[in-house]
Amino acid sequence: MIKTPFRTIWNAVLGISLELVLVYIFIFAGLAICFIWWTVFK
Amino acid sequence: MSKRTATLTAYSLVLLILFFATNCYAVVWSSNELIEKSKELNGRKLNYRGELVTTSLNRGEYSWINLNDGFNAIGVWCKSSSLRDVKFAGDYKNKGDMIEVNGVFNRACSAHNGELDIHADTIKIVRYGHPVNRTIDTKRIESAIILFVVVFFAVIVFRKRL
Amino acid sequence: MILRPHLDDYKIIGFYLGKITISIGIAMMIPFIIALAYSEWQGAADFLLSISFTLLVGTLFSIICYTRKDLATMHAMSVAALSWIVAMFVSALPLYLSGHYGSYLDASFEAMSGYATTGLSLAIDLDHMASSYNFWRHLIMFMGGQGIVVIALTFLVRGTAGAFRMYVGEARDEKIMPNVVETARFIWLVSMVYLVLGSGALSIAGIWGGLPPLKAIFDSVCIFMAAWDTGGFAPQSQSILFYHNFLFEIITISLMLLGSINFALHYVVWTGNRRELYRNIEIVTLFISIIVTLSITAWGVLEKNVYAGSLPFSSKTFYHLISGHTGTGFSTIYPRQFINEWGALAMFGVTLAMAIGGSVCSTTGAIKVFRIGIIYKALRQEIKKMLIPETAIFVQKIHHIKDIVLEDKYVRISAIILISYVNLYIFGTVAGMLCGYSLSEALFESVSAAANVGLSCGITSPTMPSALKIVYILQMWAGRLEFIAVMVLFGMVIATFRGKR
Repeated sequence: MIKTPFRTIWNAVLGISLELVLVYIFIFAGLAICFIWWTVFK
Repeated sequence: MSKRTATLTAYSLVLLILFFATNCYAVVWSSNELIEKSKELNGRKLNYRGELVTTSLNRGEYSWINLNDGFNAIGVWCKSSSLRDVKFAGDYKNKGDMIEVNGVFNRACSAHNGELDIHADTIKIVRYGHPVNRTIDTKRIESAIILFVVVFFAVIVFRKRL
Repeated sequence: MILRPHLDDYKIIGFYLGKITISIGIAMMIPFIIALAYSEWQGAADFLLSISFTLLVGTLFSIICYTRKDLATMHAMSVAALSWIVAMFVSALPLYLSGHYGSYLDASFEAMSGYATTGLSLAIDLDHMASSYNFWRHLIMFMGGQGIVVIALTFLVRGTAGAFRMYVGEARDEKIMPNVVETARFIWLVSMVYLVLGSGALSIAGIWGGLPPLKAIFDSVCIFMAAWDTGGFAPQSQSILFYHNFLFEIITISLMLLGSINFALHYVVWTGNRRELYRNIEIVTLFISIIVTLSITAWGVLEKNVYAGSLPFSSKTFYHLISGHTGTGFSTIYPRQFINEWGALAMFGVTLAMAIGGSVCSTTGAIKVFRIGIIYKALRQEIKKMLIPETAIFVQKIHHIKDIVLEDKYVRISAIILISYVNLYIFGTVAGMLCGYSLSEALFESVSAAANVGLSCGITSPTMPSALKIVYILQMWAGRLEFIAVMVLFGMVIATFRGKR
């Protein structure tokens, strides 16, 4: 299957978006961990 | 007035003056002291003096300024209106205004994401800054041009080898 | 049986060293143009001098050592190792000329810190440094993160087998695309895309935060380069604290995490294989590692009872843990606060995160999560082997882009590199303690240098002992190149004297 330029760009855009989603999952998880320890400690 | 009364009054006056003098002397803390003694100084009203560096950061009614006393730069949160008279911020081209701030020191300010800062009550410009005159080292420019010419010819002559 | 190197061998090394040096000279044109644009005449003169000197050195190497032969592994590794030293010396020249460094050693330290994407700085009066020199610091970081060899491959060197060996020597062994030049170009593409997105986001956040527009853009590009290449230089002396801007913190965390992802992973995700984002051994190991080290650090900070609310506590702790784990080194606290406010347990948590690092073939340093993942899987395999029936065969697989059988050779090389890093960390720690610092401080700073992080607890300063400066330079160099290239270089030196004719 020949990949049209549109397909290539679409894949890239989707890839970037999902990488950003992954990053925000990391951030959310990290802050949640901190919050959990804060509550446990207090 | 008897001699004894006069002497007593004189001594009392001297003591009174000394008392006021020592208490009017405001301690200006250095940035290193603020960082090292942060626990002790947390929440206290104190004086800090430093050069305004780079730029002030206007956030509407309030602004951030960073004052560098030669050791560290400390962030100061103050009313934007108090910065009206500020002339220069320190960077490559200028020496910044020397500003003295009196305000509450926070070791880990809750309002500002846990940062070490000072919430200013008063801002005083101790000394205005000025543009810095820099003399250019002409020897360097000469050496640069000579070297550049040498390289230019080397590249041309030996271009097959590159 | 090791043979004594021939004159031809030295010529090959010299020739390619020359080409790489020329690339650096060309790169210096960018700060030169910036100096002109900002009317920084002294800066322009200094850069002109530095460009000429660097091009002269590079041209002489190439002319004297001219050869048409390609590089074998030995040459490529030596070039990779030496080019970083040569790059350090020539790049230090404009920094030294700026007058913001106490000595040429300090300027060299800064240059190596930049190339190795460490971020430890010996700059004096950074807040008054001209934009051209400051940009050069950040550009060095960008070039080092991409790879000095990658830079040369993009412009000057043909994509031969020897070129690929140099690329490997620089601790990038993922064959992302069939041709090494195409691989280098892809790395550029990803970086450019995130340059636009990242600098754009930072510029907007900066202007919102009160920065003048031109300054916002300049700083955003500089900070992008330092964040993406997980370096950690900042235009001002207070690092990211200068901006007092939580948006900056969020954006820089995002860039730091993105920069710590394997370039090969970027490639497969961008070309359609999106499931790799959660199946990949590195992403999984990184996630677990962050949670563990973050917990240790959080516990340590909580014990010290510094932060009054959960939000300041969480944001400060998380920011520095990520900054350390990704090997960036951005900070929103002052170095001494690590010791005074955070304490030994929290510092240990951060040290552990720094020691582990990010992904292989990314811009981060340290042992790297891929190796941690491999060793963990190997350990699992060993234990399972003892539990299953003796006649049964158990094959351990890992998933990295594709399913790979865990063979002994992967475990072996991972273990060797892990041990090498630990040795390097210990070496720097001992050096620090010999200079009078405590174990906790010396360990923190040593790991920061060797793992190319850049967080400092206060040891790194212009007044620190020169011997320690040299130790950290060597650590940054060896750590960035992941030892192999450095060891091959030493091997070549020894072979010069002791090899068979």
